[in-house]
Amino acid sequence: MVHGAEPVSVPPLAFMHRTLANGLDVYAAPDHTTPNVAIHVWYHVGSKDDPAGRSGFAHLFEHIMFKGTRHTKPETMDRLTEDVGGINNAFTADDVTVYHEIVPAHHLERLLWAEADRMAALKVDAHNFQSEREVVKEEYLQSVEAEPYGRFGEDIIKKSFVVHPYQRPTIGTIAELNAATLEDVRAFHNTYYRPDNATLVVVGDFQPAQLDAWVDKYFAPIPRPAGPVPRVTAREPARTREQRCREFYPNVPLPAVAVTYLGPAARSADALALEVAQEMLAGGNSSRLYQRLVYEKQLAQSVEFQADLREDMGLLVFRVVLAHGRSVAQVERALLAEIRRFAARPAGEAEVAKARNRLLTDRLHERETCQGKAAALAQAAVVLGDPRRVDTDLTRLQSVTAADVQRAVRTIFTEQNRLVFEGLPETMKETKR
Amino acid sequence: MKAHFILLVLLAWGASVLRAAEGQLPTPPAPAEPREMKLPQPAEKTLANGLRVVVVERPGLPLLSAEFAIKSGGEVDPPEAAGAMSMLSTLLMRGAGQRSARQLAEAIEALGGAIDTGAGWDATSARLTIMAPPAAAGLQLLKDAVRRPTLASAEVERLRAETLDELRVTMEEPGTLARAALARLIFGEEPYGHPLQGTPKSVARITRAQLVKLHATYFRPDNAVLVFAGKLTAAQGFAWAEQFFGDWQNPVTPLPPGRPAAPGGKPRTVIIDMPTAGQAAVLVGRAAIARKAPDYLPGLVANTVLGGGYSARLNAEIRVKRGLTYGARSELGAWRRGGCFVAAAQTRNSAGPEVATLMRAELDRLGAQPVPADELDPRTSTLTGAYGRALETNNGFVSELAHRAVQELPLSTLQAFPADVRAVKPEAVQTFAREHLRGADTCVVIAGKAEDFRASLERTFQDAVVIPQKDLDLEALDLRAPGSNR
Repeated sequence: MVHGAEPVSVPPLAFMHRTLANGLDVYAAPDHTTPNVAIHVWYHVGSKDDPAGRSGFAHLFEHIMFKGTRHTKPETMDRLTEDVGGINNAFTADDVTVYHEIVPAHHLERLLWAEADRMAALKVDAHNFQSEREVVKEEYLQSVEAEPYGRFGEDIIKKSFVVHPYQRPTIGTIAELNAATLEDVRAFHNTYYRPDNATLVVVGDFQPAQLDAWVDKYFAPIPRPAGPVPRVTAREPARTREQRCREFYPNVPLPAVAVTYLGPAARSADALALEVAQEMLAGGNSSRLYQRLVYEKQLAQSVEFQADLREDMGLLVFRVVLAHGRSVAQVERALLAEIRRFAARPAGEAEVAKARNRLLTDRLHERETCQGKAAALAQAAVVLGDPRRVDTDLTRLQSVTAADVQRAVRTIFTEQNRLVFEGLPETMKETKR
Repeated sequence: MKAHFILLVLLAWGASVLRAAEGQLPTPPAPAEPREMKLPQPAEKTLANGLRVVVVERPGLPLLSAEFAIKSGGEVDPPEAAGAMSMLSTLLMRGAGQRSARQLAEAIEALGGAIDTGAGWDATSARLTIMAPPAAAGLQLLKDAVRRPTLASAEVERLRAETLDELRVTMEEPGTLARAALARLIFGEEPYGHPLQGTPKSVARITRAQLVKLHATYFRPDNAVLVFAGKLTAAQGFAWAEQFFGDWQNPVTPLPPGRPAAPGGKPRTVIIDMPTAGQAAVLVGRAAIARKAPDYLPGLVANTVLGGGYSARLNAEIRVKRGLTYGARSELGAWRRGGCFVAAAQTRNSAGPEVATLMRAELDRLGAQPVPADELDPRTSTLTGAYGRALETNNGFVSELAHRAVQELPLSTLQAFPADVRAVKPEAVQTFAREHLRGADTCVVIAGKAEDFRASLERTFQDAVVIPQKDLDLEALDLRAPGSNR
């Protein structure tokens, strides 16, 4: 298997699935080797669904979900998790908002109660709303303003989409966060936080019949609202010619360059091949871009490549921070040459096998914990649209070939589908490049 | 759709409440009976050359981790060469045995594995994570990396350039600058006083000869441990240890003794003025205890009550109650010859001094009265729960066991830790806070845009020294570049 001959066999994640009458999808995978249980609730709403003029709202709302319900005080989730040796957190992505907990298994019923409670009804007062909004503004300052390349990262996303709401940064802007009201919170919960727009995943030490009974008791009574969940319908037009742009920033110590391409959606048949491409280009110290740009030519301080495939479409992003004393033009030329070379001809099988082996090891590591298994199962069910892919992708991944990779990237890495964006230190404003 | 939307808005809370009317109980159900955490027993053996080997068998997934750790870290960096051990740890994988840097990266990555190296305080490690079938091939590479690194001049120069560029970026982060400055205030020129990665000046000075000497002096079997966890038997682990490391001889010269850490500098407040900072980093800290100190566990619990999670006091006061930060945390660094306590948060520039004052007040409150049982119990649960989750993975096991082996603590503390933590009494926590965490004894560092908080600074920290970012020298005891204006 090491050189691509024998596939590694991984025990399948034996999971159960049912859909309640109110539309809630439930996935469960018992694992009695751990004393813990992981609970995930995925809502099919993300920052692309931010209301008009409320950039950052889906994420702000995620914070508000911890601020009290009709039955509970703010921070009840922490009482039910941290206080008993568990943990909870949540994150907002472009397409989904995810709430998750890990607790000692004998606390499972309490968490099901609490997740059902906040799905059914939030009740947040003005003080808690405003105080949490301040926290989110600090999160913005920390991740965007205080980070040397924070604003550059936000601008890459903004400039990469013309029409699609994917252009809005998940964290939002201070002005639009300030504009949000409690009324917006109520409307958003009513619109998107409903059982037929949610998926519950439970992995860990529990008895399936017991879990079913608890789910029936706590989630089944939540009614399904009438009418469909609104969906984003905007379609990003294909790019027709290369675009170039540039911004200057106060705290960027070394110039940076981003190159982005529009790509396929997460459910595309090419998704696994693009994951392998990501690994081959920038996955480790033997990856192409690290070897050429950082190691051999010492043109770059760092190089990253991410094939970020989302529900509606994908964005492939290269990000390079220059090594000291290098010219932006020189680094751009070298990066674009590597991308062209990668798309022009298939790689050797050994290079592809290396990437496959690394990805397989990563997925095995994910399966060490009930948290990792729950996340993988939810990702397959909600984002990929087929829960069985939590297992079948492991086999398919091991059969991705060099030809598959080249076929997938050839139509994406074209000149007309390219955006080149330079993020430069403010001190370069006066001087010629 | 539009009509539906308006209706929902008009009904507002009414709509939500109606949806919840059926079935939902007003209080959470009681927890069931707790289940026992079952931990596998580690097996251990010391080879004839002194290498200590520990194995934990974890059948299941076809994965294993192997950590090779030497019991010396950044604290043995030569004077004037801060960052040397960190640099050496990276160079282990930049060419070793017969392989160049590139060949070594190709070889381990072709196996689907990784060898991650790094230097901490008291320990430098190389950790192999790999699928079980190719483990022996991975161990051969691990062996070469730790026993026969090439340390080629060209690789030293390349890494120096890389590190200097990385420092150019990280030295723009308020949190990184504040942390490095605080370590210097607490430990002065003694071990633990410099950034592990070095400073721009020290990294520029490190020589290849110093790196070769560091390797020859400290990389030896009687100063090392090897820990396995995953899909292997103890017998297999011991056999691999013998095969790859059994013929390694110790140098005839004894290991040099370590330098003691400083008792802790006097309390000072330093402002690093970063005119373009988007936020201020606020750190409050002081010297505390060594890992083997008898009050380590009370110290750990005290730290957890203060800053060990979302619900801990610092975050509760600064984030939850006041919305001043995205997160306030603290940590207790406890090493062989000393340690320190550090509380940290990032906040809007204007609130820097306010956050520092709140932190000091929380330190004093912990010393003033015992932690109530209904607070102590949940916070110790945070600690034991995190421990239990870490031990769901092979890497968690090798980290916990390597730490114990490096600090020469009994391996039985692996099993005993949760009960030992739960046995800590509120009085012991209070005593620890009184002895080691008095607010007035702490150093304060705020790195941010000073203009935005100058007025509140003058009210609360009259003795504060303001150092412009351009004049900051992390090597100087007063943190000022020679010749800069006072």
